[in-house]
Amino acid sequence: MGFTHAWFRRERLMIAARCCGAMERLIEEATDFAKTRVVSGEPIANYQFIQGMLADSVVDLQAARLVTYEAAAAHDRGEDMKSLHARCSIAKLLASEAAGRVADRAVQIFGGRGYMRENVAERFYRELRVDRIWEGTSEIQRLIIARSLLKRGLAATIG
Amino acid sequence: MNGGRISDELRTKHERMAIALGLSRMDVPRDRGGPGLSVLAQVAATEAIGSVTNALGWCYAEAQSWMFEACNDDQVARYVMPLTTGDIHLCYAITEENAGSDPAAIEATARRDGDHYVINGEKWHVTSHNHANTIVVQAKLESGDHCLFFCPADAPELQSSAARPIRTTTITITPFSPSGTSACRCATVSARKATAWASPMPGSAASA
Repeated sequence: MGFTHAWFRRERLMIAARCCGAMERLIEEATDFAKTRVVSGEPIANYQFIQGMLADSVVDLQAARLVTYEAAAAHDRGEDMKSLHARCSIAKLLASEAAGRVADRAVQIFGGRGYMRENVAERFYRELRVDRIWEGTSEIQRLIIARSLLKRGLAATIG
Repeated sequence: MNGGRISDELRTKHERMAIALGLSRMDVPRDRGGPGLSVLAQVAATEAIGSVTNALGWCYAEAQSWMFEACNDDQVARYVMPLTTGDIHLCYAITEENAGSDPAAIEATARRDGDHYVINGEKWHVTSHNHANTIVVQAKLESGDHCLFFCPADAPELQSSAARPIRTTTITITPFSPSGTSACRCATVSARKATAWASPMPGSAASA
């Protein structure tokens, strides 16, 4: 059981890390495009609907990244194994769901281009979908977090 | 787009670059000759890999610290350290048609036969099987405990639908042996070694 759980913890934490990298790339790409794509005489970055999508994506990235880094640092501090298990689930759930939202917004900002196979947003949109599934679906991560909460309490779950 | 395929030349080049950067041995403990990096440092490196997509980023295998605890010295020498040099390419055959989020439900069995185990089962969603020379198979022992096995990908009894075209995702649906009709003899797994991998599973993946 120990080895399987160690394996899961690492894979889940690293999925969260890769999701953060993907979000950063998508935000950079969508921002660059929004600054140069002109619609009705204005770069779309000047439109508040676009700004809202970019801002929400920055918030998603920042939250997921800090939670993922904190889960990693908790390993380095040698915290309780059960707590580490829950923290990896929290990071994986948060980052993979956030990455899905960020990719969806990036496709929307790119418009028709974002639906084309050669576009970076299309590729990530398709690929990131699996991060909500493998190494435990989002639903399984929620069960792990909830069971930790119910068995050991909030402080033992998130420190 | 190249039909979603990465050429062998490019894949090999990427793998060499990743190994040269030390990515494949990030998690190797210091007492095993590794860098003993903090988990935080490894997360930062992995985050950078995520920015190029999984498909391009997953060009290398890595030896993970838990493997050094799970394997005996012989297994470490034959299967774990060669991951860091690109000599072993692993894929993981865990999921089955009726066992995904509930790995306790797997039906694949491992039966002792002299020095070897005979594994019977059908596995699904074996990511990157087409690039692997060694398969990690999870199967149930006669005791009911679950165990991981190293299995050569070219075992003659092992059937794979490798001819199925690999599309643009990193996942392929690969039942590699018709259920209950074909046995894969894991010639490289002795009873003693397999015991080192014995890994009784919890009631479900949700148990923390």
